[in-house]
Amino acid sequence: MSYHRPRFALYVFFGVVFLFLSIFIAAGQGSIKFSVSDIFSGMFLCRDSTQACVLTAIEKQILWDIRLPRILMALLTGAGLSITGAILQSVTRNPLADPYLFGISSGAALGAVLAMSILSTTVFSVAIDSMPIVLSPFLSVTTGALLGAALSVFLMLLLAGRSAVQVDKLLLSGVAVSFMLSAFTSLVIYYSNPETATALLFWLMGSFSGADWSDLMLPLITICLGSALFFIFGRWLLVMQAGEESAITLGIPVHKLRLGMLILCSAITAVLVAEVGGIGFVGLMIPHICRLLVGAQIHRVLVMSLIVGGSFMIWVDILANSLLQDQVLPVGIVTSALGSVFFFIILKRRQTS
Amino acid sequence: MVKFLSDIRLRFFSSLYSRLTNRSLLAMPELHSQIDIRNLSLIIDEIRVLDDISLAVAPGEFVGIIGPNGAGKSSLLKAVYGYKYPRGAHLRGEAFLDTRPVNRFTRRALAQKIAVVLQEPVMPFELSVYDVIAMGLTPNKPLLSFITKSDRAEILLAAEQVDLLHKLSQGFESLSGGEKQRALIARAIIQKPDILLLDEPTNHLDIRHQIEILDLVRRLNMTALVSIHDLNLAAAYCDRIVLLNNGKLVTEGAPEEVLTPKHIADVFQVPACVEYVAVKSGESNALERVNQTENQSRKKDEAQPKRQLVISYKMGGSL
Repeated sequence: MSYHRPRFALYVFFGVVFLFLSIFIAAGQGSIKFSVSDIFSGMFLCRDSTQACVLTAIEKQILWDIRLPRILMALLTGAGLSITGAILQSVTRNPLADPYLFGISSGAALGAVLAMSILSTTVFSVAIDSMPIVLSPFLSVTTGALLGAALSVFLMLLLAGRSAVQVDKLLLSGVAVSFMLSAFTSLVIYYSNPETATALLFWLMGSFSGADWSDLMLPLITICLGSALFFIFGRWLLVMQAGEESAITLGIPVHKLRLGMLILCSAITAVLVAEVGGIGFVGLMIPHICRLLVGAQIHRVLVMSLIVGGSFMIWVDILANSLLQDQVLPVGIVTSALGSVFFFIILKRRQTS
Repeated sequence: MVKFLSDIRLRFFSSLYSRLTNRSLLAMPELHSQIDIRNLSLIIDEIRVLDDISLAVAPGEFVGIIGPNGAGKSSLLKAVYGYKYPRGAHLRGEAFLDTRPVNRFTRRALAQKIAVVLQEPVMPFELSVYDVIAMGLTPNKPLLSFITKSDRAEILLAAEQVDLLHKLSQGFESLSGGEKQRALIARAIIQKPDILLLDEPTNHLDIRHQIEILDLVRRLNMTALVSIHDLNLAAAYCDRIVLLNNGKLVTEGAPEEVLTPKHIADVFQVPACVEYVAVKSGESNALERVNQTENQSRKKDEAQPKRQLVISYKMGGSL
């Protein structure tokens, strides 16, 4: 018997409906407003340019090439960071665990900032241009972020040393690595020229601007693969919530599982940070909201995190675009501000109940 | 009346389970696994935690491990369930499950044989009692599988056995200490082990709950190795008692052989008086009666001991 199953199904149903609604609403927002029917016809009825359409060719281009990739990037980012947070909280049994706490985000950000900084200097640009075409993709922001995330995990395990099997030691070394790598990121920004430094700072605060369809592929694949593995190992992940020793007595290879999940979470975070910059608080907050809604069963938390995280990030992007006139706020600012207030309200409600 | 209703409920769930799985749950599994600990020593950071301990636990036996704090009770249990000590710990000698050393079992294979009830865990996230009991299915189910109808029936029956059927949807953390222990025992039942290890299951419980937990374990009729602090309870429930002190096995045997004033004074540094009290043999409970009717071949006497050993301590007395 799965307790509260009807309620869970209801939450999923309404969550998915809300997610689609959010996509439609977000697609209509911007300097040129579209109604839901315009978007519907633009998306499904007259994709082919030969068909008569209520949207002009430019409007269709805005919808398809600018808004939809941006919305889907927001959705993927929210979903990816949320499930990563949920998994890290489960394997460490720490309600405060998220990609930031482990230094994964800091590592990815350092790698990405270094890559951007190197790529922006003229000497390197010329060198890269003259490189064989096969090598050039390896010198990208994504590669930098992946290497940075890998470095952070490596450093964390190195610092924890023999104590890596103990979660608290692992977390503490993660926090130390996070601060160390953040310091290096600040150093890189400090030594960059003013234009690059401004661009890097803006990028670090997170943004979905400039996302196109090709940018979506890697995050989509990583999140799909990651989610599949999370669901496959879901039963073990649930048991880990009962404690390390209990999990061992129930036949689970706890240390290997934790390391595997850490690497998987690092990969997802690195890919997302490379695409959208540093967006905090989502990985921490959304899993808690989902647990309050559907309980702590990991499969449910993962499903709800994908839906709620995606929807939340779409709405954050809508707010970031519409709060100031003719100006787009960095997403990271809105996420942290909105998230902390939301989280505080939920905690207050929980205390009173 | 309550016993009668409990009997009816138990029969209902048993028949539900039998219909779903074509086997009877109340017919206990054949007991065949035994534990054999041979010359086990454990040294952690140059401290001898266990010192050359040899002990055999026969199938169906209820063995209690007693001793003061730091005597090595939990370490002995850990050696039996194959706990992997971090570097810096040296384990010599071996614990065998039947004829095979426990370290040669895979984690999963060992979990299919031995269920462990540790001192109550703290769940950082609110899991229901149902979720916690269902964790016991893990060793016997493939990674990619769903909870079937017969699994659910087993969970319900285990919850019924520990009297938590009405609290299945409640949060585990909302349970009292005794209820949490019962839920963990239900999880162990679902694991379908041959051997049950319990690490101080009665800690922090009031006397009623302590008795309830030990009654329950006794009723399960499994091979059990239990570390326990209360000497009176150990005397009342254990077939055999192992007395540890400073990592060494001081003595082992029947409660009346081990729990002597001399041993208690030597090991616990407390003067004690040991006497026997005649106990009226009470009516066995519903589960025992059903067990007896369904599994007549089991001759083991499940009733409470007729002569109970009672230890009283001399407060403020000197040795």
